[in-house]
Parts: sequence; structure tokens; C-alpha cells
Amino acid sequence: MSSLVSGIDKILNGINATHYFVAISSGKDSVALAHIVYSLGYPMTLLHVNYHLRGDESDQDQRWIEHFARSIHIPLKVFDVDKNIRNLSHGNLLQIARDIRYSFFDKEQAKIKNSIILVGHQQADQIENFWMHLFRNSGRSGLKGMAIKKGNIVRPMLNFHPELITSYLKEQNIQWREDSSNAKSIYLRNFIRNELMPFLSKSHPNIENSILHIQEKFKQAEAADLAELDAFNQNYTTKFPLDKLNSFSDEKLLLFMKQFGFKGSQLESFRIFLNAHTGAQFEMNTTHYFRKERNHIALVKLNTSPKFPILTIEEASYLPKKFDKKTLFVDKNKIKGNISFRYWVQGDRISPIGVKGSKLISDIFSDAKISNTDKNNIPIIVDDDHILWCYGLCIDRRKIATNENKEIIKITIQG
Amino acid sequence: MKCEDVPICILNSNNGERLIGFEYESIYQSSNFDRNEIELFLSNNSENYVFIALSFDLKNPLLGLTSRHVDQQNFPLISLWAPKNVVRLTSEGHEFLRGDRSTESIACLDWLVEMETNENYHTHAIELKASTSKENYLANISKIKAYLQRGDIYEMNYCQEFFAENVEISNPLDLYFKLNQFTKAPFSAYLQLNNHLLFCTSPERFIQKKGNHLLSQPIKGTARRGKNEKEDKELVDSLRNDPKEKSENIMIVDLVRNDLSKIATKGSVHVDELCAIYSFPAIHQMISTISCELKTSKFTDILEALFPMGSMTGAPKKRALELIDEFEDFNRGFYSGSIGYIDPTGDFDFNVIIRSLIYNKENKRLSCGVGSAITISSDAEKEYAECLVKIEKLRNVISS
Repeated sequence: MSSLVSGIDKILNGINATHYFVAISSGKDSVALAHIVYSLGYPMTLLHVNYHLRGDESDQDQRWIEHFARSIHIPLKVFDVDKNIRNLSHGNLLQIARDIRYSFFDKEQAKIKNSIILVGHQQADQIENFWMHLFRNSGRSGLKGMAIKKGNIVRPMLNFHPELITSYLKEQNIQWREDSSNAKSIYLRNFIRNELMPFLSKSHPNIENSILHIQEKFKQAEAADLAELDAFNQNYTTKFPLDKLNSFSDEKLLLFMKQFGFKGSQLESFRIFLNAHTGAQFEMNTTHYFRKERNHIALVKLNTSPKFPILTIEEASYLPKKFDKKTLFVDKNKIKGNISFRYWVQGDRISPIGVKGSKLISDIFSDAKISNTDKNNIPIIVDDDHILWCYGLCIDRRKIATNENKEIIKITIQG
Repeated sequence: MKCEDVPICILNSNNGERLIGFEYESIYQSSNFDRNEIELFLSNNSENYVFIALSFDLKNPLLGLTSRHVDQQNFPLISLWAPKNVVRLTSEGHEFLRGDRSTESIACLDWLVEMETNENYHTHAIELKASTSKENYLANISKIKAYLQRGDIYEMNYCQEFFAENVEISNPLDLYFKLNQFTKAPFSAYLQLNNHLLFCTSPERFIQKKGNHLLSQPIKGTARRGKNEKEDKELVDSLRNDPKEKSENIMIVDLVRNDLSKIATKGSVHVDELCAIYSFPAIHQMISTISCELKTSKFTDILEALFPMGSMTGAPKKRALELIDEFEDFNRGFYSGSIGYIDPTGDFDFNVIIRSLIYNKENKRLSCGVGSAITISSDAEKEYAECLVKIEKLRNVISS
């Protein structure tokens, strides 16, 4: 048994899953992985995604994999992606393909309890990953590279050199298909693989090991920070002392922030928040925010979890006798364009009953003692002309319906 | 329609709720007390809100009395009207209890709320003069005391008038809201009806009926607000423990119990609260609450038994009223009368018109009555000072 096969056997044994989904692309890495898992006798299913990005070639890939699966008597599931993926791509095509791929994998994996997904990343991918992150100005968490196991994904070949994989395929006399796009440097990844690394290796033959070495250092440092953060989290759950947070390194603070769903790009503004005036707020998500206190920051639950309001606009045949600020009756003939809602923006004005001219909605908020957080959740109803209604607080007088109006629109809000 | 000119009545509890009646569908005004006419008007308008204004001189037909002085403000003895629009304004919104939201009615409401919320009040340079000199006032009190000593009466509400002539009020509603801003009284009211204007900042309820339950809340006992929290508290304590103020209050409670017993089911007259202290922005007051279950639902029966309110007469009521007419230098007119409303279920609420300015557009005379309860232990100087305390805010507001 080659070191590659025994190494993979050891990893799969350690994972001890009930079923292994192997992602296969017809490239040599995934084909080798699939064959090794098969030869070791683990219960498995092959997963393939056809993106139709390379025309006939994509279909030939699929047919090749179907043939491969049949030859080893392993079930195969193919996900056929809409052919227009290239057109709908707003961003990075590789990123989109990746999202499609993993959502398909997740869905399949979820069907079998205690199963796992195996992907064919190997050492060269790990090194490429380093460069990709470096070019992206990533910090430690990006530069540390991929992990062998993360969530439901396992990369059994991550620490194996591609040459080991190639020789395995040759020994076993297994065919694979070269992706024609691999040969071109159209993608950054391909540039790293085909140009940068061969160039660097000429003068620095050990460059790969240097990169793997620094990735390992980063991994260790992060693991140490995570262990400390675990201890920190044991002691503090809703009030986090400022002196401790301020002593955190950027990387550690980032790990702390990531627990609450923040992004690396928010690090700087979070540092500013830590030194802001008491009462300052740092918005987090729809359910919680941080509030700066004297000696700590407090994790605060939003009073009302803001729900997307549903505007009901209907015709009313008559006016009621009682008018409150939770239902609006307007004269249909005065409405310009569409009635819609939005949230408050600086400078919004309304003309309430009994006020000459208009009044700033921010003043109405402060009169009603609406908190800074809540005021962004109060629907403002508008037509194409102006604000009609600040829900629950103030009705604009200019378009309200009176009993002379034949066509009355009633607006209510749920949620 | 110009909102400025239509009849408007605002009954303002200053707890965020205002009942506003404007324009009227029908009106009844009279210088007599004709039970049948009044009951007929009420039954004809039983599905509407009926607003009612009562002048003090309604005492004459009710109790067979006369008045020496003519009411210079010329208020009818009784006015009943059914407004075309009745709106309850709250901080939550507005409710048309009568009438609809029309362009006209919303314009009036709009105008009214604008007056209320616009705090750039007009200035007035109105100085009120006393119609009774201080010497006369003090002399009258010693004469009244002779009657108290003799036993004709044991308490008398003795009032004097402060007034101004040739007064122009360009924006009455603005003046009302200005006055209200400084007083925030729970039985505040504004009325513009024909040539008459009433600016009322009363803290006192006359009677309230809910179903069969009737209550009256006479006020006797006044203290000014302190300049700071400590002094304020001391003033409350001394008012609470002042035997003279308490006895004044209790005498009136006895009178009201007697009045209520005429229309109450047997054994139902009850003193719910005796000599409680209530604090208002301008003043502290000692208030008692007496209630009963009614055996009659007729408004005129209730009026006959209770009007004028004991807190504004003294006791015994009839003799006190005779002496009031003998000693006071003015006809109280609308002052110490009442304004209120009856709702379609027959429930009602009426105040006592005190701390009020009364104006007649024809003779341009502005009148402000004020008084206090005289008992045998009264100190004439202190009573005079109490009168000045009671109208201090009103005088300050209209002079600036």
C-alpha cells in the first residue's frame, strides 16, 4: 500500500463516518481520491456538477464519470447547472461555481446521517490558496490555508504532493481527463499554478515548503488564540470587559468579532467603537447589537426583532369615525404614483395635522422618545410626492381622506 | 365656514384627552329654569352629545332667590346645545363622536391643534383691577363674621371680581392655550358661543354621572406651590394638617352629602375620599369625593338638588346665597356656574367655573371672579391673600 493510500485510510478511519460522498470532476485529483476510497471499501457515493461552461467538453466529462462510476459499481449523482451561469454571474465565476457546488453537496450529505463530503484538494491547492489570500490582503485566518476537516468537508489528500497522486493513477492504470481550462492562465489560480510557482521554484526550490511552514505557524497561532478566546467566552457571555478587549491583538479581536458574524473589514470600526463614548452602539445583526458602557461592551438584544412590515392597501367604501395613527385613510385621487414604504433617512419631513408647514421626522422621534435603534425600524409610508405617514406616530395632513372623497384608500401595516 | 367664528367648546382634562364640540345642530338658551323645556331638548337630542353651560344665577329660579346686581357679561342662565361635530382628541388620534371627517371639520381641527401646539403665544397687556377695594373686602369679612357668630350660617363663600374694560382679544383660542399651558387644570374649558368667551382653568369637578353612580368633588383648602421641592412638601403638609382648611372642607362635604341625599337611593351616599391633597402646576388643593346611587335619571332633578355647588355657596346653602348677594359687589354671572356635557348614554361630567376669565365681545369687558370660604376662624388678611394666590397665574399670563 502506498503512503498516499495508507494516509487516506488513516484519515477516513479517524473520521469514522457512515457514508462518504466524494466530489468528482474527472480531473486527476478527484479521480484518484474516488478510486482510493473505493479500493479501501468505504461506503460511498460520487457527486458531480456539470456547469456546462465548456460546451461539449463538459458533457464529455459527465459521460466519462458515468462510465467510471459504472466500472467500479459506485452510485453517482449529477447536478446539472443552468447553462446561463456565465450570464447571471455578478461576481467571480469561480465563486459562483463554488457556491453552487457546495450547496448541492450539502443537500446530498444531509440525506445520510453522520456522512461526510470528501474533496480532492492536495498540497498544490493549499499553496495556491496561500497566494490567493496574499493577493487579497488577507490576514492570518486567510493565510493559514485550508484545514483537513472543516464542518462536513474533509480533504484527505491535502498534505500529499501531487506527484504522489499522479504516480498512484499511473500504477493503477487509471485514466483521467485534463480540464482544458487548466492549461490556460485565464484564472488567477491557474497563473499561480502554471507560471508563478514554476518561476519561483527555479531560484527557490524550497518555496513550497516555506509556504507550508508559514501556514502551519499561522494555524498554530490561531489555535492558541481560539483556546484563549474559549476561556474568555467561559467567563464573559453578555458583558465583555474593555481592558481585555483592548489588549487583544487584531487577529484575536477578529476571532472574537467573527463569533458574532462580523467581517474582517469591520475590524477598524470595531476598534473605534471600543473607544467611543458611553452609550455608543455597534450594530451587529437583526437581533443583537453591542452597546458601549463605562468598562465593558454589552451584548444587547433588540427590543423588537424587526420584521419586514406588510403593507395592506385596499379601497374603503366609507370613513370610520375613529382615526388613530395605525391606520391611514387617504384620498385616492391625490395619490401620485405608488404607495410604498421605506425607513427614515436624515432630513425626512412630514406635515402633521395642526402644524403650519412641516416638521422633521427626527424631531417627532425625539418627542416620542424613540430609541436610535427603534427609529430605523419604523416604516415611513410615501407616495411619489412626499411622506404620507410615519407609522404609529404621525399622519401627514395633505392627502388624508375626508367624507367628500368618493375613492378612499385604507392602508394598514402588519408586522 | 370660518372656524374662528363657529361655536366651539373644548373640555380639556389635560391628561391628553380633549372633547371638542363645534358648530351646533340645535341650541336652547333661557333666562328661566323651565324643567319641561330642558327635558324636551335633552330627549330630542338624546342621540347626540349635549353641551351645557350654567350661570350662577340659575340659583334664583331654583331656590326662589333674587340678585341685586345685573350680570354685566349677560350670559343666559342656561344654555344647551347639540354640536354638529364632537371630536375626542387624544395623543393616539381623533374620534368623531358626532359628525364626519370632512374638509371643513378637519380644517377646524387642524386650526385648533395648530393653536394648541404653536407656543408662540400672543402677548396681552391686560391688567385686572379689583371691583372691591381691599378695605371694603376686609370690612365685609368682619360683617360676614357677625352672621357666622349669630348662627345664620357657618361657612360662606365670599367672592370679589377683578375686571378690565375695553379689552380686545384678537385670538381667543391662542389665549386659552396660553393660559392652559401655565395651569394644566383637569377641568379646563374653552367656550366661544355667540358674543361670549370663557377661558376656564378650573381644577374642580362639580358632578359626574356614570350609569347610576353620581359623584361630586368639592374643593376647599388651597396652598401655593413651593419654590423648591422641600418648601413644596412643607406647604402640602401644612395644608393637610391645617384644622381651618379641613373644617372648611368637611362643612362642604356635609352640605354635599345633604344635597345628594335628595336624589340618592336610601343609604347610598358615601364619602369616598376626605380632604385629599391634589397638586397642580399652579396650586395645591384639598379635595373630597362624595358619591351616591341615583334614584332619578332626570337632569333637571339632579340640577335642582345640587346647584349651585356647595363649595361656591357655603352652608346652609340658601341663607349663604342670600348673604352672598348682600355682600358681594358683582353678579357672578358665568363665574361659579358650570360647563359640561351629557353623552348619548346619559352619563355626564360638569366642572365648577372658577379660575376663569369671562368675556363679552359686545361690551369688551373681561371679568375674573375669585373667592374663598369664610368661617369663624378666618383671618381676613389671609383670605384676601388666598384670593390673590388663586388668580395669580391668570393675571400674570394676561398681563404679559
